[in-house]
Amino acid sequence: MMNDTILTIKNLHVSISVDPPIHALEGIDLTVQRGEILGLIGESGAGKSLIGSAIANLLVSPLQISQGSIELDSQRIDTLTERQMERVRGTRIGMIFQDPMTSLNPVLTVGHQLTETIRTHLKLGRVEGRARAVEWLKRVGLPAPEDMLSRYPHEFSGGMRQRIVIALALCAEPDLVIADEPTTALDVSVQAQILSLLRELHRETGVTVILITHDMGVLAQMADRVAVIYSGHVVELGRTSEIVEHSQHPYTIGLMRSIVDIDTPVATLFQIEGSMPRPSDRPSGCAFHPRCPRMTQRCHNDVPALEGNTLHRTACWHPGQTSGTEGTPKIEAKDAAC
Amino acid sequence: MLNIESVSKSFPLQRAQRKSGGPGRVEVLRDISFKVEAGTTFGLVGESGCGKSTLARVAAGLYRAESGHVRLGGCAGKKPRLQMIFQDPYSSLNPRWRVYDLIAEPILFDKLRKTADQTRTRVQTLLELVGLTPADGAKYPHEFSGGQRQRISIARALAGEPNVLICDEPTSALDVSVQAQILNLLKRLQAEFGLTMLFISHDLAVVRHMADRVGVMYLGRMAEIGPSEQVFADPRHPYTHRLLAAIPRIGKIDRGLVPLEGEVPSIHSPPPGCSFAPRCPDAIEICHLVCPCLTPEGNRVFACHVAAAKLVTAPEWS
Repeated sequence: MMNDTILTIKNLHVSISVDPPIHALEGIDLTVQRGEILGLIGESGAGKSLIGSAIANLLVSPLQISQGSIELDSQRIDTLTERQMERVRGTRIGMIFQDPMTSLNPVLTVGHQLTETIRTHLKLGRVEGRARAVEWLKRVGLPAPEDMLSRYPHEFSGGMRQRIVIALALCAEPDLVIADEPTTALDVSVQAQILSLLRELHRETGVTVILITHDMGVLAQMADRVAVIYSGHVVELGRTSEIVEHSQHPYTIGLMRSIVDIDTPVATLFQIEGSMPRPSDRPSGCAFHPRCPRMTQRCHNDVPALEGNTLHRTACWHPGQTSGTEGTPKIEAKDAAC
Repeated sequence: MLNIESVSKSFPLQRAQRKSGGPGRVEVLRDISFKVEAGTTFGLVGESGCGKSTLARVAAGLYRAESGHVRLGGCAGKKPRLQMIFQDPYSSLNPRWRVYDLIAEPILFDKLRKTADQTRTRVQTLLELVGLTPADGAKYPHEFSGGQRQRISIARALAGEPNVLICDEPTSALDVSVQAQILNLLKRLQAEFGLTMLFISHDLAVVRHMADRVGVMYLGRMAEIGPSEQVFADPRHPYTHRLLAAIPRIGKIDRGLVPLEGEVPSIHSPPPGCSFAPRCPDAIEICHLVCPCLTPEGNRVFACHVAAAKLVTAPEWS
C-alpha cells in the first residue's frame, strides 16, 4: 500500500482574480496514498474546505484554480471540462458535506436519489439499481431499508440523513471520498455512530478518505495522517501520532494546547493571541509570524517551505517541540484581539 | 443565588403537528430543580433538543415557567440583576447600532450612571475589560470577527452590572483558539466581579472546564446533578457514562470510541418509563415502566433505577 499514490496536488493556488490577486490557497502540495485516511485540520477560513472543493472541481466563482495541478491516478483532473468532471465525481470521487439536509434533494424520495445515482454511475437496470440501493441503506445501518426507499429526507433525523448521504457518496464505488466536516452538525453520541460507520466502511471498501474537520479529537480517532492548514498553507504534515504527540509548528502546538481536554482539567486555558489573517491581508513571510512566540526577522521576510521526512514535515523557520517557558498561558485580555 | 424549583414548561403544538388523540402540548421541561450558589458556575449539558436552552430562557425570565419557580437572590441588599449571553454573536448584536450604543444601552435603560460623561467612561472601561479598545466603540458589529463580537456581547452583558450571568453556548460558534480566549475571559471576569453563572453547552469538555456543579439533561429531565469533578470522573447515570465514552479524544489514539446506540426519542412521544431506557444497556424491566425520581447521594443526585439500587444494597454487603 505504501507509495501507491492516488492523488497528487502540486503547488495549488486557489485565487480571486482581482488586482492584485487574493490567494485563498497559496501553494498547497499534498499527496494522498491509496486506502489512507488523510485529515485536513484548520480553523474557519484557513482554506481546508477549499482544498476539497478544488479537488472535486466545485469551486464557485470568483474562486478559481490559478496555478498548480491536481492529478488523480496520474491524470490531470483540474483541467477537465465540467462534462468530463461529472463522470469523475461519483464514480471516482464521492463527497460528504457537513449539512445532510442541503446535500439531499428535499422533494425526491431517498430511494429515487439513491437508485438514480447508482444507475447513472454503474449503468445498472431498474431492478438491480433498486436492489443496490436497499443493500446500501442496510450497510449504513438504516432499519427496514425497503420501507425507507419511499421516504423523503425530512422524515429522517440528522444522523439518519448523514447515513443516507454516506450511502449516496459511496454507492457508485468511488476510489476517493472527500468528507467535509461530516459530523460537525451532529450531537456527540450520533457523531460517534457516524465516525464508527465511516471507519467500518473504510475498512470494508478500502476507499481513500480525505477527512476535513476542525476537531482534532475526530482526526486523532480517524486519520492515518494529518495536514494542518493555516491561512492557505499546509504548515505541518505527518502521521497522526506524530502531529498529536510531537508537533513541531508553533501554531499546531498552540492549537493543540488551546483545546479543552475533558480528561485533564486546567485552571486557565492556553490561548494563541490574535486571530488568523484573512487571505487579503496575509502578512509577509510566514503567515503565522505576528502571533508566533518564536518570531524572528527571517519569519517576517521569507515564507518557510514544508520540510522534513515522510513521517513528519513542518513549514517553520524555528521548528521544535515546545520548551517550558514558551507555553505559559497569557491571560492579559488587553493584548487579545480575537 | 439562582434557585430553580421544580420548573416545567410545555409549548402548544400547531394543529398540523398534533396527532389525533395525542396531547395538544409538548412537554419540554419536566420538573427541573437545582440551585446555583453565589459566585459559582452551574453547567448545563445535553444534546440538542434536551431543553437546555429553554431552561436558560426560563431562568432568564424570557419564558414563563408553567409550574415551579425561578428565584433570584439579591446580594448585600442590592436587587438581583441578570444578564444573558447568546450563542450567535452575529444575530445577537443589532447590526445598525454602533458598539458604543450597544454597550451603553443597558446603562441608559436602567439609569446606572448619572451623567453622559460617566456613561462614556463606563463604556470605555467595559471595552478595555473585555480586551477591546475605546476606539472600537465607534465601529459597527460587522467590522469585528466572531470572537470579538462575543467580547462585545460580554461587555454589553456586564454593562447591566449583573450578579447572575446566563451564558447559552457562548463559544459554540467559535474556533478552538478563539474559544480558549473567550473562556479565559469569562473565568477572569467571574473571579473579578463574583458573578454567578449558568453556563450552557453541548460540549462536555467546555462545561467541565467552566462549571463547579453540573447538570446533565436528557429529553427535558435532569439525568444527574453533582459537582463537576465527580460527575465527569465517576458518573452515576448511564447516559452521562455513555456520553463521555462517545467523545473523540486526542490522547487516546487506540480508537476507543464507543458510540451510543440509537437516537434521542422524539419529545412528542417520550417513552413511558425512564426516557433513556430504550438506549440504555443496563436497563431492567422497571426502567421501561416507571420514570425514576432523583436519588440523592452526598451532594449529588441522579435519576436511575439501576444506580439507585446499587446505592441501597452496597453498604449492606461491603
